[in-house]
Amino acid sequence: MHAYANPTRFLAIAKPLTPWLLGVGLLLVLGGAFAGLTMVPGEAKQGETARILYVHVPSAWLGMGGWTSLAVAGLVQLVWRHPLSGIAARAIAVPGMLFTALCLATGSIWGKPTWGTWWEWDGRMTSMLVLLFLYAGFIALTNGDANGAGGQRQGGSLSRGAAIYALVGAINIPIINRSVVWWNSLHQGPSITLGGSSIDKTLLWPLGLTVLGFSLLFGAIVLMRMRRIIADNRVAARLRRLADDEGN
Amino acid sequence: MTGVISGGGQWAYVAAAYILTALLTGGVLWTSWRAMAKAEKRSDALRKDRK
Amino acid sequence: MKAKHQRLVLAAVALCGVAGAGVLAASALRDEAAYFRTPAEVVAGKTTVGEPMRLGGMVASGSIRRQADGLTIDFVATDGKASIPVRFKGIVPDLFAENSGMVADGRMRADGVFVADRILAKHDERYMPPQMGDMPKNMKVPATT
Repeated sequence: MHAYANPTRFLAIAKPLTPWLLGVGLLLVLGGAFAGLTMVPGEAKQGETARILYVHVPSAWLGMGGWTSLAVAGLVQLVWRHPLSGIAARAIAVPGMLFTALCLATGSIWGKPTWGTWWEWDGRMTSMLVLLFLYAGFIALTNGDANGAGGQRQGGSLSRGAAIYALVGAINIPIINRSVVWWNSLHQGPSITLGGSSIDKTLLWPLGLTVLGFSLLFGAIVLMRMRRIIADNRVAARLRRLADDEGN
Repeated sequence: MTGVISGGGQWAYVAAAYILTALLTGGVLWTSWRAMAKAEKRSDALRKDRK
Repeated sequence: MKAKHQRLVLAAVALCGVAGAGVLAASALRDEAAYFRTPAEVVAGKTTVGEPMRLGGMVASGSIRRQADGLTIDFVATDGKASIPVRFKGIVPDLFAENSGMVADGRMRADGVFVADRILAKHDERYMPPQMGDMPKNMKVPATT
């Protein structure tokens, strides 16, 4: 478990991996977007507006997947005190919030021409908005940790409060997922389930490209933000040592 | 009330969604990269100082 | 090692507690969090005349009637179990059509007609290319929950 606890070992993998995730992710996203905009036909009823699917669905997946991994990182921090888990949780928060915001925004843009409204307080939209606020709360909470009177928490770890917050917030993820099944909602039911997809094959394949591509970009953002935190920690540690040396 | 969305106006919505996604994702990618590069440069410089 | 196990058990217990609370809250919200009421629920007497509410259902096949003023439409909203006649004056979304879903804001009139002051279209979870869009309505649809 602690084999990768050492930031040096982590960096040995993260540094070469970052440009790969970035490059392949960008290629897949651009290819998927190009295909979604030009190579597939419009949808039978929704026409061209259905093309918003190819950016809306990856955003939803990463907004929710982001919090799931943030909660796992919080749990690992809480139980095993793994030094990298707190750093990972901090690094996930901003891209997670980004994609949640994009999911809400692209959904709103899609809702106007199809449903006839930018926003309604149905179960799906409300629970997704709650997720956005959860991210904002987590970022505020952990920034306070880092910059508060006590200075940066050692090694970028989470406070117990922030880790518990991450775990408790995870209850919202199954609620978002099931909101269109449990409650009457304006948002339609799930198109892609374990049983198959009700998106026709001719329209589905660009979605695979953008989902994978945005996932790789998400990974790249997380790695970059983790590397930044680790570098900041090292600078802080060295400055402390230098100050101690001068004091003696 | 035809049950089908048609006409050129719908592309404006598609364009808005894609442009917004590109701008925000690109922005976070760029700021994350810049912050990382700056922090690692500072860390490396400090290490060389000590040698 | 001992302390680690203790923390793990504590986290597991806390997690179960939170999950349980969440499930309880969700089931308690079952009716409250519903975005609209179905015709069957309305017929079952879950509404009062004149009270603002939201009605959701399918637009029954062949039920749309446009009035002489060109703005007022009448149609029947159904959920397969019950049907409610709806009257609406205004502009409906493009996707509003027979055999499609819709959600209407308005109130029940004493004579059993739902008078809507806003109508939204509801899309289903199927996405088809145009040439398949005209397939028979009774065609088998992949089972989704």
